[in-house]
Amino acid sequence: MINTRVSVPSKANKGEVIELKAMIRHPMESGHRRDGRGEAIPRDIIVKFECEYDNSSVIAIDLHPGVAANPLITFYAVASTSGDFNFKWTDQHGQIWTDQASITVS
Amino acid sequence: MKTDLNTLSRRTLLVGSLGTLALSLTPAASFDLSESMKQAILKQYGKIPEIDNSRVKIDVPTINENGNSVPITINVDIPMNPDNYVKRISLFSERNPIPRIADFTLGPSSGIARVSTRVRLAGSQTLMVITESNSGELIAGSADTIVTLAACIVM
Repeated sequence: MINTRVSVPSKANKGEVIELKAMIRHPMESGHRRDGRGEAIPRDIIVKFECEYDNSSVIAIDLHPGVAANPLITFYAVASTSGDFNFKWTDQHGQIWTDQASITVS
Repeated sequence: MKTDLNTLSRRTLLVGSLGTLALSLTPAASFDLSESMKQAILKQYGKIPEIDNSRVKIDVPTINENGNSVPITINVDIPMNPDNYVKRISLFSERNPIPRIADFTLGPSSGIARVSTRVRLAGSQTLMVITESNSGELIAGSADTIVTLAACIVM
């Protein structure tokens, strides 16, 4: 089962740098492993993570098989306006998962 | 060195074994980069940038028991204002089957140039980070880390 968790502070002062965290439950199967019968397990990874806020991109990440399972990413943003942070993960097959969290900026 | 067992003092033994320990714990020198990592960096950036660990800091545990999940934080000393910011941070591994681990695209709205994640490492090695500023300046950072149980057997 795939699910996502994000962490965004509920309140911040304008101009403050806030810490954001995003995690997706995903095996990040590297494609280098073999199963019990010695057959290669096909690669299955998240290839892209993006976060948007205030109509602009905060961060975009290209992930490769060297990223550990259940990728957790910590990054930062300047609190500019009250609104939503939109998180988006894309896997190698083009499947997309999204999450959202809002912030009140005073 | 020829040491007769009878004359081998406690001090000689202690100093000798400490030396061996230090030697076995020292990972590959950072300027002696592996060919696969060099090729990956050249392919993406066209050259191997100068290493400046005072401006590009990699926080990674010195010793990891398990290479399957190694926490890593990359910190770049740059103001992150619209005139001067890091637009791209790339992390490379020396010994993984695929040297590229992750590429982070940032902008002035990030506030500070710092990112963290967890990576897989196939053995003790030197990690390298290449950062590209908005003006196109490339700066590299490197860090050595020891991995007791490499991820390669399960990667």
